[in-house]
Amino acid sequence: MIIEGLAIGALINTVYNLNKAVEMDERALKKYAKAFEQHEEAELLVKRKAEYTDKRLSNVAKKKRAIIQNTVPRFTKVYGQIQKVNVQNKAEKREIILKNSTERLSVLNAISISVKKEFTDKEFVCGLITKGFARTMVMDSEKYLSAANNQMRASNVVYSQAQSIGEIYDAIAGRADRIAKLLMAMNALFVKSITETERVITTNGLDVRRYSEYDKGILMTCVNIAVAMSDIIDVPVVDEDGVLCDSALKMIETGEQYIKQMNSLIES
Amino acid sequence: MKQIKVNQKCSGCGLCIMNSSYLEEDLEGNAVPVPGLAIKEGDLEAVKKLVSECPEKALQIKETGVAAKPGIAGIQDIIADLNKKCNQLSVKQITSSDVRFNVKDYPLAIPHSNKEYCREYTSESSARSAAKEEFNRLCYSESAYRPLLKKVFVEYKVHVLKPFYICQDVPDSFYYEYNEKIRAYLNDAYAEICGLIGNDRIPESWKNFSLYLSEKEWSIEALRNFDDRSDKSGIFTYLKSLPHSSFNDYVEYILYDYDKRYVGEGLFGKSKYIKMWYFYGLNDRINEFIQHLTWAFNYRADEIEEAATNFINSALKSFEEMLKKEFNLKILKLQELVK
Repeated sequence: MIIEGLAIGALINTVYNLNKAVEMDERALKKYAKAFEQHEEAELLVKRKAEYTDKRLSNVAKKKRAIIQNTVPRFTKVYGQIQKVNVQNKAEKREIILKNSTERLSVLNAISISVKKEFTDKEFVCGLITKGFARTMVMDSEKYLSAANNQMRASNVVYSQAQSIGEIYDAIAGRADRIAKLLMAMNALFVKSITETERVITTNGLDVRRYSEYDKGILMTCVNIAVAMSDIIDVPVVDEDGVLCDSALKMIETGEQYIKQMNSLIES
Repeated sequence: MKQIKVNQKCSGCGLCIMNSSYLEEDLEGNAVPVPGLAIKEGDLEAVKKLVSECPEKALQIKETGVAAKPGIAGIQDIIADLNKKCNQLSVKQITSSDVRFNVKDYPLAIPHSNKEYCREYTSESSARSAAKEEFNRLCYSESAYRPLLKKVFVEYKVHVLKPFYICQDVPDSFYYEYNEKIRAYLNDAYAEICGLIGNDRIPESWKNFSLYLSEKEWSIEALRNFDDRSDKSGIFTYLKSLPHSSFNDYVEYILYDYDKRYVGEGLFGKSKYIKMWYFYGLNDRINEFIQHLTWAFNYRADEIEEAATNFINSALKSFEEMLKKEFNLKILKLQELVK
C-alpha cells in the first residue's frame, strides 16, 4: 500500500469472548457462526475499500507524474522563450510583465531540473515532491513513517466499527478523486495554453514589438497558469500517517474556482 | 465502424478524457474507450487530433465492426456474428485447485487455561479431575471443538467461495465477468447498428444485460451454507482415530505436584502443613491437540475441496444454460426489430 498507516488502521481488533462453560447447542453454534461471518465480511469490506483507496491514491500520483514528465518540460522550453522575448527588449517599455511569477514558478523550475528523479507514489500523494529533492530527505520521511507504524502496532490501534474505517477510506478516496479531477483539468488547460503560446512565439519571433496586446495576454496567461499549476502540483491528499490534509482543502477549492473562471473565459 | 483503442503505453495523464466524450477513466486512472461508442463521421477529425496529441502515443483509431454491407444488409452480418458468439460462449468449470482449502490460511485459535499452577486442590485425585475437566472444556467437548471447526469453515466460505454465491451485478461476483462480456458484445453491436440505420430503430434498452442465478438455486444455497458441513466433515472423528489422540492419551501426560501450606500449630506446638496440589503441562497438551486438529483438517482438505467444486460446477452449468438462453433471446429480439 502507498500509505502503510492506512493499512494498519484497517486491522479490526475483535475479541471473541466465548463462554466455554455454556453448552454449544445448535442455536448457539448458529449464532456464533453468524457473528463470525459478519466479522469476516466486515474485514473483507475494509480490505476492499483499502485496495480501492490505494488505487485512487495511485491515480493522483499518476496524474502528477504525467504532468511532470510531459507538460512541465514543454513549459520550461516555452518559458525560456518568453523570458528571451522579455529580456531582449527590456529597454522597451512594452516588455511582458513577468515580475512576481519567477519566485512562484520555483516549484516547477525545481521539478524540471530534477525531472530525471523518479518520484515515488508516496511522495506525490503526501505532497513531498518539493520537500524530497534531496534523496536523504525522502529516506528520512520513510524512516519516520516506519517509526510511526511501529508505534501504532504497539499501541494496538482498535477500530470498533468497520463502518467507521470504511467512511475514512471513502473520504480519502473522495479527496483523491477531487484532486485527480483538478489535476486533469489544470493539465488540459496548461497544455492548451502552452500550445497557443508556442504558436504565438513561432509566428512573432522574439521581438516584443511584433506582439499585439492579445499576443502578450496569451503569454502572460501561460505564465499565470504555470504559477497556479506550481501551487497545485504538490497538493497532498493525505499526510505520511494517512490522515487527510485539511490545509489542502483551501488550495483545492481555489484551484477548482480557477478552472471554472478560465473555462468561462475561454468559452466567452 | 471506427472506434478508439488505448494501448498499454497510457500514462493516465487524462488529456484525452478531458477533451473527448469517447474516452473515460478506469479504476487505475488510465483512459479506456467508452463501451459501445462508434466515432461519428463529424467527430473523426477531432478524434484524429486527439490521437496525435497523446503524449505517450497510446491512442489509435481502429476499424472494428463486422458489417460488410451498408444498411439493413449489414445488420444480418451483425446478427450472424452475435449468433456465432452465442454458440461459442461457455462458462469454464473449475477444479479443486481453484478453491484450495489450506488450513494454514485460517489459524486455529489456541485455547489457553489459566488454571495451571493454581494451588487449590487438596488431593491429587481432585487435581486430576480438575485437569481432565479443564481439558475437556477447552478442547475435547462438543462446545469446544465445534466452534473451532465452524470458524475455519466460515473463513473458507467467505474468503474462497463467496464470489460463487454472490448473485448480484457487482464486480465481486464470479458471474459479473460473463455479464460484462455479453454487455460488451451487445454494446458494440448496438453502436454498429446505429451507425448503419440510425438511433431510432433499436431501443437503447436492448443492449442492457444482467443475468444471475437465483439465490434459491440449490447449489447457491449449498455454497452459502457451506459452513454447516463443519459438523459432518468427519474431521473430529478422524482426529480421534489418530494414534495417541484419545482423551486419555492427552490427559495422561498432564503433570501433578504439590506445595506444602502452613495451616497452624498442632496440640504440642508442632507446625502443621497440608499438601496443596496443582497441575501443569495442560497448555502443552492443548497445543498438541490443536496440532492434531490441523492435521485432521489437512487430511480432509481434498473432500472439502471436492464438495465445494461440485457445488460450484453445478451452479456454473446452470448459469451457462441461462446465459446462452438469454443471449439468444436478445438476438431474436434484434431480428424482430429490424424486420
